[in-house]
Amino acid sequence: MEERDDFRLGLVATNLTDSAVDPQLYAARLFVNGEPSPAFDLALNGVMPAGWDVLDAGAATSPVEWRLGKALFPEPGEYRLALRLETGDRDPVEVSDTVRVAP
Amino acid sequence: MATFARARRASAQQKETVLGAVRNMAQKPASSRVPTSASPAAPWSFADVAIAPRATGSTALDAEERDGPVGQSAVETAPAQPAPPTQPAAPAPAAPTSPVSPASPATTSAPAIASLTMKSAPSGAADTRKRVGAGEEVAFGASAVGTWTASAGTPAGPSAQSWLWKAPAVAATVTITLTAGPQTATDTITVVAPDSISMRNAGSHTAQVGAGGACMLNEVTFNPRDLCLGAIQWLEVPGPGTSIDGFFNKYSAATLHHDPNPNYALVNDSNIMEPGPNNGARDHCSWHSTDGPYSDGAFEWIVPNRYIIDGEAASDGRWFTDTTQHFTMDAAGNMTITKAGAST
Repeated sequence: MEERDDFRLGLVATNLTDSAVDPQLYAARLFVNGEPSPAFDLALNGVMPAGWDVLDAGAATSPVEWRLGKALFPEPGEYRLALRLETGDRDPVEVSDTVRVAP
Repeated sequence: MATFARARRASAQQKETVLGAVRNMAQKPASSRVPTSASPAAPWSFADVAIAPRATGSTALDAEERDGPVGQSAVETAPAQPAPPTQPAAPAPAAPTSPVSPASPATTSAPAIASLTMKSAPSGAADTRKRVGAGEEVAFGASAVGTWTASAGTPAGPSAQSWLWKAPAVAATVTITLTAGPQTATDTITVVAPDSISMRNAGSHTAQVGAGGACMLNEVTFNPRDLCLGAIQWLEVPGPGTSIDGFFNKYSAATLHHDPNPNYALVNDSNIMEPGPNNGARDHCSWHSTDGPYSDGAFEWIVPNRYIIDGEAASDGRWFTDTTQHFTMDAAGNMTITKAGAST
């Protein structure tokens, strides 16, 4: 529990197409044990990271990370994190991982 | 009267020469910029998500008409030479006025200084302005070759008739001194740090905004605008949610914590945030959706803002103002967000 503040949640996106796109990363949502995380929703506030509005062909966004450990893990236990990007014009993308928080 | 007329003609010739040199300097391209990260890159890894399918500025001559003579002692356009004390000029020229203050007796020629800022101010203030932004560059020219020094910013220049000076990173009143032989001339520049931020709602992720949500994408302007702040970079400092009331009490303090972009963002020569290697063009103020049931409530982030100038380390960042991002909710599920003059 005392290490929660060291936890980092990060995101990099790469444009695999041959033209510039709006990656729509601001539409990403984080689910914790199946429930959307309001902390992640609020983490998208502030100066937009580079590449989040227009991402050139073949380019990757600069790494972004958030210190959300205390918000995501209020008590000891096992947490299933799923980051999902679902927009109307592309196939959904989801990555997931499990974090175990000891007392 | 004859003396006055002669002095005026000589001064006009002299200033043309001085300003010619200054204008030539002011045409130099601006140096490239390197954005600064406020935090070192971390070896984190959670997910790699692949995405498939100016020109109209006034001159020092204009400034003379507005502010008074740049220098009106009887000065030749060639490098100034001190007059032998046994051969005083007669009659003595009129007493010089600001901004040139020759230290030599009235019987000798004194150098004159003129200046042009390398960048124009967004407000349209003349490039001969004496108020400049932190880190702004100013081209100085003189009627004589001499040694340049400054009480702050670039401390000194070579022996030359012109000099490109860079303002310090913090507010200051700076004396620029030209020493030509036994004579000196001075100019005074006021350096101003950014003092506030204004935002304008320039768009929204409309399609993403759902029930109980709001969003705006803000254009960010740095003040004051009567000088150029294009040398600064900007950072928001994290902090807790405060004044939490009503609807928002159901969220934990950790959830309502503000964790903005940890990298300094670039600012262009119009004093507006511009895209850089670590930042986009807009400040994102949003909570795209919230779950009901809804009720009246509010909370806010008091955001400390820091700046550095190009080339400084992130650790050099200095506070200059706080902004407030305020969230309100009503019982019908309407969320409103305001920040620095902008509103959803």
